[in-house]
Amino acid sequence: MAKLAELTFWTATISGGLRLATPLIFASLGETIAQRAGVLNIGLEGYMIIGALTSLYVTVESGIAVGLLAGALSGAVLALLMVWLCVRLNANQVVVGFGLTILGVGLTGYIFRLTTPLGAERRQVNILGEIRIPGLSDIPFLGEAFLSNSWMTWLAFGLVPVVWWLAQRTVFGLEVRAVGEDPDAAFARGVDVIRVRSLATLLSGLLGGLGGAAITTALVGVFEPAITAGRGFIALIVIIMVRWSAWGVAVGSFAFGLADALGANLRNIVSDSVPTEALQTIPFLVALIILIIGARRARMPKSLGFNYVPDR
Amino acid sequence: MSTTAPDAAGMDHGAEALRADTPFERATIGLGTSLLAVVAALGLGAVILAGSGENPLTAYGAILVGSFGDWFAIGETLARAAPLAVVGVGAAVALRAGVITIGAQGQLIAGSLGALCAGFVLQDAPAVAAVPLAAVAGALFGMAWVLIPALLRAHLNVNEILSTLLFNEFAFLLLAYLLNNPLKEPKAITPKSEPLPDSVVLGDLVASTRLHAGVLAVVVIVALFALWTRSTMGYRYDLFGENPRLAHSLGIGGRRVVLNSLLISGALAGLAGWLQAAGLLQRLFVDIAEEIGFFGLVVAMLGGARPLGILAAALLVGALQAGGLHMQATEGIPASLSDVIQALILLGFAVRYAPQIAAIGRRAVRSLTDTFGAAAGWGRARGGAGGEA
Repeated sequence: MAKLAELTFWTATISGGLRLATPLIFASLGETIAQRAGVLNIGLEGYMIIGALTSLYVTVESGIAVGLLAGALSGAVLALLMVWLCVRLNANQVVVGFGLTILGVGLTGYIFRLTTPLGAERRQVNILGEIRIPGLSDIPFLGEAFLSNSWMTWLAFGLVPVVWWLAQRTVFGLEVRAVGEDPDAAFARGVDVIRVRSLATLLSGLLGGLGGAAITTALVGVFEPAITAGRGFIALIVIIMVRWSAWGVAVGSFAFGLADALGANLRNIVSDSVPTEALQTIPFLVALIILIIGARRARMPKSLGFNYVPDR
Repeated sequence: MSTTAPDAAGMDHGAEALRADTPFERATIGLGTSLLAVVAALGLGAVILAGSGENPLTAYGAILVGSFGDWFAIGETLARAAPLAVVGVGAAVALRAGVITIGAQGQLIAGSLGALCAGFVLQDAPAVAAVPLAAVAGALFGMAWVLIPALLRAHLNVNEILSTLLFNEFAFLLLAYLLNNPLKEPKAITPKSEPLPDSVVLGDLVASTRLHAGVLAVVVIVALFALWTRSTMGYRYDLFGENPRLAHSLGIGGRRVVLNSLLISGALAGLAGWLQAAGLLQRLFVDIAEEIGFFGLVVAMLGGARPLGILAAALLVGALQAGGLHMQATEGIPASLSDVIQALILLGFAVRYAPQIAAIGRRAVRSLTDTFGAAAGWGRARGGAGGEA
């Protein structure tokens, strides 16, 4: 346990935490917008896993740029189903979201097994390289822990102010919040509720797909069935915890990523008498605590989960 | 009302759209759109199959053979449908009260551990006592596993979808730890428990199938659920699910309804774990829960949270899963296709009452009833009670 006091352990844990936070940041940022518009995407897990598979398969063929784009678009395609079924046809958001998760996991499992028969080599890519900031990244501890990240991680954190600006400083952001709080009033003010909700949901699909892409291209380099491992649901927890705030998403995702990395790294330094399963519970325990704390102060968008049906 | 509430069962929100119709039309549209959803899902599945270079007929043929082709196949279908129906009933009790739980997975694991513990304790007891006690142990363990999320939801308003999901992870990790350490069968390579003692094991119903006596319990549970939906208590829970504010003003306490419905769903998921442990597998494996917990919720949603609906949906999902595995084994087409088809059916069911879609069904039914009704005289009364002057 003495290693717990060593700096290298914490450097590895913090940089690992940032890495593991990356997919969560993408997914939660998009979903924050969708939920603010009143659309609950339980299918976020589905958007992520389809993005994970698509981006990897396309990257192998056409390179990372096209791969990431394809990953994001594949998530948006699934979100398009959400738009059609829920926003347009007023189906129950939870049921459809649940269906989209099963669809995403099933479809990717099917494609993976079909393209990877037993014993065949798996498609894999080199995970994305790091971007180090000249000078700053060489600062002992801080530089190594916080400032030497995969460029996907930089992109994720870079997106945070963009989404904040979109939500708080643009007309679209205002409309999003309006249709999420009171669609009737927004409609009366001339806002096209269906259109705003559709766009917000698609955004959630795009960023969810990108979050999945981050797992395969920036974290692991391969795909396997159920690789997202419930991260889509964790993202939903993060959003509740940080009360639908873009900056909060960065902090909350990092908290969960840190717990995840801590569980993984502790395995190397604790004695064998501590079961690995106990360490694996750490991120989920943290998530539970986050969820409980978040629930006490949660003030969700008023019409979250409720479809808007214009008066006939 | 310009916003529709996300009603609990998720399937009846079109009732409004159908209200103007006669009961006959409503039933026909309901059945017709359900069948349409299944056919459309199979059609889309065929497109996916063809698109990936597989022959849809071969695939569906294999699914059919693997689910209903012979007694063994039928046994597999029923043995898979059984825990799905039990979890589905539990999920339905909660859904009707407006509570969504996806924790069945974890509660099922807890229930299977309960059955195993009962087996250890009751090793030498007569089966007459040991079997029901093991079932009770399974139910209690399942109930215990949902207790914390239930209390958190009832008292601190902690989202039950997400908390039960986390408890699934805890249950899975606990089971993995137990099967790798204290409960591990010493010589086994893959982690699994010792076989359950004979006193708690459920016998086979039909020789040379895996259909065990536990499926009889399913019939009892669904029958009890049918009574529940007609009882005063069940009515109160429905009322709470539909309109918490009205229920509150009638003196129906929200906390108790939420707590009890979650506990009931936990107990039933635990019973499904008992079915898996004492009936189908007779040991504990790391993946004993498979994905029964999740698909049990699918079954509840597909079945509209109603008893017969759940039975039908459990059979459908059980058949697709048993058939899917057969398809994978004989034709090499991944069994995940079954999941895809189930997901598509669920999506279809979610919109089958959408006004736009119901309108198509209504038009079809009306043209039919008008045609036949004119001849047979049982059609939709035209022009209201007074008739056309």
